[in-house]
Amino acid sequence: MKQAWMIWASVLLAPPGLAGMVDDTAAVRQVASDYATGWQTADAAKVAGTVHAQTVQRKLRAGSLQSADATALTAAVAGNKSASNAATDIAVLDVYHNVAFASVRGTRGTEYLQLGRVAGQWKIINILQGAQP
Amino acid sequence: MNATVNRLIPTLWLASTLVLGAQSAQAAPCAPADCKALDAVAHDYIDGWYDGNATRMRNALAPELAKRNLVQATNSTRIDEMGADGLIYYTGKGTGATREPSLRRADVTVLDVSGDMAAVKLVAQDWVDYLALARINGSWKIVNVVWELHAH
Repeated sequence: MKQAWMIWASVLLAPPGLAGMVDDTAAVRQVASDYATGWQTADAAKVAGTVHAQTVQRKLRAGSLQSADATALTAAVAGNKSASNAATDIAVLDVYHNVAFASVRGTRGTEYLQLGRVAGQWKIINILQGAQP
Repeated sequence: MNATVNRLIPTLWLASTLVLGAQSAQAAPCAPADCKALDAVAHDYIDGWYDGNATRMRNALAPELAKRNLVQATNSTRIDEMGADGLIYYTGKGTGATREPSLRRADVTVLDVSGDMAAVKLVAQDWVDYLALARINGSWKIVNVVWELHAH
């Protein structure tokens, strides 16, 4: 009797599309993790695999914005001289169908990643990066 | 049967707990002044759109705005983009203007704040916007947007 109640409670509490939601959250987290790891290890190919060709990065520096495209972004990764294994904190903030919002906090500050599902693969579309408080 | 049920229960409970926990964690706390300011900027953006008020929209945007939408086709995905000038122009033209209260949905959630940057979710009448904002010269401005139509 107790088992039956717990199963019903679980089914009632589980939102519709639970499996897809969990899968998408995990996939978005993996892309964000690959992006962060690529930066940490100066692995331009790894970062290139996470970003869309039309990705734009906005960097907040001293109250003004600097912009970079995907080519400049991956070139900067290859030239990263401060590669480290320092811990990063990755959070999937939200997922809605084919778009998602994630954050990466690490030695490079905070980055807000906006992602989209492109031909079935999650790719980073927009980046806002700045110093941590 | 009993063994199967016994294996199933913890899995279902864990999944439910994780999802409900993630949902409740979405409303990340921020300093009241920041939350109020971020909410105001998000409303300048969406209410400006609904009002056809270009000045209000301009106040919400960084000139460097990148607003992207993914268009899913059968075998490909296209990214459509609009900058600040285009969005201000179409707002002023009244492209999204409506005075019908039931068509002016504007649910704003601050997802995260990190110093002078913030992540906000806006659920509008027909779509969801993810807004990445930066505090520039003391004012929050929308820098990056990715949006998606509601599924019907």
